[in-house]
Amino acid sequence: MDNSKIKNFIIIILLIVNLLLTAVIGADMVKNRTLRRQALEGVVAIMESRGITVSEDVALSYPDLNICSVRRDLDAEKKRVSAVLGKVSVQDRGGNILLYLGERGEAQFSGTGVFEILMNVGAVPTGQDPEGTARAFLKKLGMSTVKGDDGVRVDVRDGAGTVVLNCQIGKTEIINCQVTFIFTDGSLMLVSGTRPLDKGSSDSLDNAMDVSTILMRFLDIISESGHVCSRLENLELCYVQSAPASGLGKLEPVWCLTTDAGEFYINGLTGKRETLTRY
Amino acid sequence: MFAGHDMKIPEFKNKNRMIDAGKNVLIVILMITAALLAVKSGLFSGRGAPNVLDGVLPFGQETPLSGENGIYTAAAAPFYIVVTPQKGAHCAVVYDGEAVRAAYSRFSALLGQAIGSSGEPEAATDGEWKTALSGSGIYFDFLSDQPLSVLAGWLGTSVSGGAADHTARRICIAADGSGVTLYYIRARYGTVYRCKTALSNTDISDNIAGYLPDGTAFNFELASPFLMVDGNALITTGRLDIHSATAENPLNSTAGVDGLLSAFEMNSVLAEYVQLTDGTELYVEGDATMRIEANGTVMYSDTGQQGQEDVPTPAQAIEMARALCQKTIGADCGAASVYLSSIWKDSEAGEYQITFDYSLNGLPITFSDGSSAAELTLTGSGVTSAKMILRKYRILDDSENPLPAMQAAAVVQAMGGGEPVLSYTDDYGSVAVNWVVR
Repeated sequence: MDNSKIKNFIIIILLIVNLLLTAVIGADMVKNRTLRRQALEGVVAIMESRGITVSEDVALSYPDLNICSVRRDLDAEKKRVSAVLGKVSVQDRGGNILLYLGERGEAQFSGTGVFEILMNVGAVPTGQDPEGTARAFLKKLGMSTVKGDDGVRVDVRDGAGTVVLNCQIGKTEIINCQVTFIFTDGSLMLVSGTRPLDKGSSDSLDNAMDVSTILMRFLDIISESGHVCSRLENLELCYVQSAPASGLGKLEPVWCLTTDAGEFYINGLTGKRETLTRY
Repeated sequence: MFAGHDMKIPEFKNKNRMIDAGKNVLIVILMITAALLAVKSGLFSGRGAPNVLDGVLPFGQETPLSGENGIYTAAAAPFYIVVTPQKGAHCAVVYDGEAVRAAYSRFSALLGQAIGSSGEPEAATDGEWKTALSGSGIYFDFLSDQPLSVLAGWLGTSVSGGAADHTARRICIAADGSGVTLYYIRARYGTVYRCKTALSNTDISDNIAGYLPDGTAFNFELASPFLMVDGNALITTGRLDIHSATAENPLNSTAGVDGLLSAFEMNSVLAEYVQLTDGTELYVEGDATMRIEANGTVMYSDTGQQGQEDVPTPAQAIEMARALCQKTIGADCGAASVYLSSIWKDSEAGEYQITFDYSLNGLPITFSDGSSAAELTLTGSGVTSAKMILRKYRILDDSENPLPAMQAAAVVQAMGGGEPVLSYTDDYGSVAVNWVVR
């Protein structure tokens, strides 16, 4: 057979294979979507039968979150600290705790992400917009903060008070990464909290729980703990960071369920209730 | 005309070549998309990419950590954690394996930082120790001495100075006015040490927020302490409700014996095998001899390894012993887990004596004859003798109600004193929950 005709034949076969595979994937996606929707409708019906209504504002569709490894990058940390403190010298205090002594203050950073920065008086004025000052400060430290009113609490009067900001990675909030700014006498005095460690690699999750599974776990949890609630007001997929002293940690997906009886956190991998607090 | 025809032939050939090349490119593209679609459709869903977090996340007991000389996995964790949110008011996390694991997961980073940043240890008085325990802080009791340098390695840090040579069973990280101090007791010598750390009071207060006092007290804090009872004994309140358990000998299959031989690097085919009249099995291969008794006790000795190698560091010796125990007593122990219960180095002989024991549901398991689950002698980089008791434990739905801590302390006082430790006791027939006096 002519060489050209053989190639035509191969192209036709490959086109058919591609079309068939596309059809298989498409059908699978439609089927999964339908099953998920049906499961979700079923769970919402079960919740309503148990006296818990789901607010119309609750988004019940979320993309899967990857689990991420995080690690402390000492070079990046020093550069960022220098950005807020000026030229710094470093002292190793043991336990992976580093003390940075700078021109505008001093800072202590640990492998767990916990840090504290003591600023010299007048080094950073409170300004007219303490929230903006705080956000700009964290940006210099390489941290991204949750936008909007949900991720901030401001209590500053006459140049003194506190600002609390929640951190995020990408556009996902990290529940236990919060930073508190204390302003006194018109200038920033202390910055403390837990920072997101530097992102390492991420891994997709085959065993991540979907919304319907999480809602069923929520029903089990309130049933076991005896909590009484009648309304699910919000549902968010966030991260929780955990890191030992070594600075090699992880970000795990955690679901935050806001009800009329308070907030519940459920680990997106294990389905276990997490004890976390956020402002 | 010829000239014109001659001009068209190369053009025609070029066009054909271009079409041919285009087809080649199209075939390659279609093959790649077909492969990608096939993977996406799950037709070739094999083992998948390795988990990026494997071996990276050092938490708790199960996770390996890179040390200076290799990768070490934690071989012990505390049995008791006492959180003191305010002076004299404690919250005890005890007698519940899952709760203790969760609390240790939460506080282990702080413990690692405290040990890692500890300054030179100073001798402290018993009164200072008691003040530290009563004040705001976190107390850990491992029930056996752990080398601080090894513990620091398990927690992702390292320790220098005098503390690196110390062991500790009881550790307290206490927040006082001037900062956070690490206190520890070397059980073997009963001496108390304290070291300044780089932690701040808020590191402690932020982490213990949410723990509410539950009425637990240390014996020395009682209005009328039991003077003959260990002052650090925990007196929890309320009734104790502990799951019952059963145990059996798991070594009843050829696969189990093969695994055991393999763990000691013996070849089940090459080893000579003798069965004695009492059911004891004897395997001999070169200088190595293994004796497996019918009740699950395994005796091993290798006379050919003595003095052959350099003496390993304590961390290396523990890791070696832990790895062996994981393949032997830990391979089929059911709901139990295995922990390092003692290590002793004979510097002159270049030997380590290391014991491991079982724990179940947050309680240690004690054998009625006082044996340890594994007693190992390491010479150089090899195990020269070992005695192991293979048991498989199962937690039952039923519960047992041992004496409350206060009554147990009163009984121990009446018996002459000591330290009451709530344990599962295994008499090789049944398992019961009892207060064991140490």
